[in-house]
Amino acid sequence: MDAFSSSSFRRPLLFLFGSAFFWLLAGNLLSLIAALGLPAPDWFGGAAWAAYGRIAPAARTAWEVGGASLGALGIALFVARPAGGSWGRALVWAGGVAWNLALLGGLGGILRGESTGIPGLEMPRPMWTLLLIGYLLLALPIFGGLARSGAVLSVARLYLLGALAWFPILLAVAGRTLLCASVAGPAQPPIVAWFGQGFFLLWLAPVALAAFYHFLPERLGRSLRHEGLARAGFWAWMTVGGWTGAARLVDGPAPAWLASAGVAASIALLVPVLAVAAEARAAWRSGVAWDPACCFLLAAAVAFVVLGMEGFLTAFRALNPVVRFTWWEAARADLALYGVASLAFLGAFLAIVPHLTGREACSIAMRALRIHFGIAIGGLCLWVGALAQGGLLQGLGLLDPRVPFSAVASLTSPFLWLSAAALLVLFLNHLSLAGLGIATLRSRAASEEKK
Amino acid sequence: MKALLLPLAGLALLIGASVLGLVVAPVAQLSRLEPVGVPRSALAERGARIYRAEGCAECHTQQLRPVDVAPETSRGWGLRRTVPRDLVRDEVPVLGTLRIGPDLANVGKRHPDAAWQLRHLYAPSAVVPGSLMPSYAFLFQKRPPGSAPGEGIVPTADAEALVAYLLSLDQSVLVPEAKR
Repeated sequence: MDAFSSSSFRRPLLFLFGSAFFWLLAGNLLSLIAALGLPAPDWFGGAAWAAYGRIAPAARTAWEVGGASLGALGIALFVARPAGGSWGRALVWAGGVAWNLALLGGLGGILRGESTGIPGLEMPRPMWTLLLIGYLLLALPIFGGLARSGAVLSVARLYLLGALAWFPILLAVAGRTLLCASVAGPAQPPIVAWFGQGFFLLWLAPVALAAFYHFLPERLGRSLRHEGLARAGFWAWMTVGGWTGAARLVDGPAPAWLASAGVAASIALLVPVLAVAAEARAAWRSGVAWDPACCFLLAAAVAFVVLGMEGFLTAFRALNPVVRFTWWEAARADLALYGVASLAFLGAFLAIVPHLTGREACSIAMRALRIHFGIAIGGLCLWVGALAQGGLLQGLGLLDPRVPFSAVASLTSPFLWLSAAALLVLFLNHLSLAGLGIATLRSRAASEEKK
Repeated sequence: MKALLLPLAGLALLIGASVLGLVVAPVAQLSRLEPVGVPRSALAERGARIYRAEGCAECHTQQLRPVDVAPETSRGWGLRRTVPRDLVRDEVPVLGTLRIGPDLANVGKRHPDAAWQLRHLYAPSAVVPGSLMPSYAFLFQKRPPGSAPGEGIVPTADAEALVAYLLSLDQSVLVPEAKR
């Protein structure tokens, strides 16, 4: 069917996706433990590693740096058609192993109580160096592949290029200013906001959209409907995306001009968001035909549009003070990590599997995948919806000084239980999805042996 | 390679602008501010590291918003909004993003008793009924009876340091820029 099924990059690609899936499961499990610990703080017998302050950042790291980022690297490797034969393959292996080791050491460090406590950069310092080395090793063959593009980059490769250019800068600048010789205290929050927002909006999200723009035409058998708009949207995104983080500084200890710039950028981000919405609408109209890969990718695009709208709305004075410091902000982060990054990675993987096995999934697997998709969306809506609703109530309670703080906390508790239930459903869904994936790949190995 | 050159040049420009705006400019503007309040002891500095490593900021903010935006002063959390100068003495500011527990910007002022802080860390819900905070009993040691001095449950050096840090949290000095 395709060069990748026999290509030398098949195994390293499977390694990236396999480890991404492993960390997705790990992140999901850690999130579940963290969520259960909220309404019942000492349910794990008061173990130090299970205290919310350790397990919550560990869970976030497993999702962000593990599942979502390794999935993004897998997507990048596939879409870029890596260069360099055997040395390229060796680089991908080395980079993937370095990344996984950094993550393993980093998570262990956080759970042991060695977190740096810098939001988004909680892993102990040496692990970030190892991670950056892993990235550079992986990026070489990927860039080599991109460099062999024709005269004009495809939309998907353009988005990929943006993400691949942003990531090392984000990490190097944050490493230099926050992790190594840290700058003065008052200057750190803007950089933390810049890095935190950038990690999603300029690294994970563009790769997710690259998957959307790459695989959707392939699966639907037609070209993009709004290619020009997608290109314009990309440049608008890259122009304002790097400024939206400052919106997190509204009313905080930072100069007002920074927060204003962030709010303006969050509003301007609506332009690329609408470009994605237009393509998603066209895909929906032309009938995704319940192709599982398309469904996951389309859902990721829709989640991205929802996030963009949310950023636009909560940038305004009327809503911002209500949702600040509440579960609403956690819901937003979870929608970004699971709804956009993880769903896109799952969809991309489903679209890639036929390239690896040389044939489409059988009808039983298709039906199973549709059920998995339904459960994933249901779980996501329950998880994020419960947190958002709880956050809204929490925010209204916090703004009313007559409501005591403990009453606000008990107000949110049913919603926390709901979100924990959703995480359990998602975890079981991911486990069985992993089983299905392994069975599919094994059947190809078995049929090869017969030959 | 040709296809990459123009996009890469554009990206370099845009990424550079963002770094200039959100990294270089804040560093230039905020690096030489006058500190407010008193300097921290070495013990409290050590406590700050434990506060960060234990992820206390997952549940507690250390930033108050302007009075006209949110009624945080009416909750007894402080007297004024947090300003950049409050962070001058922080090696790593821990502003936090989520208020599962109350804000701690002024907790040293609010609960200045070290024994209260220790008891609260050991068994939060015994001190604040209905509290959802996990117990930090793992920062304490149980000694067999008879092994005086400091019989029974004694705080480790980490717990002492954490409490010293908590007691140092105080943004009660009024500053002109907080009036906005």
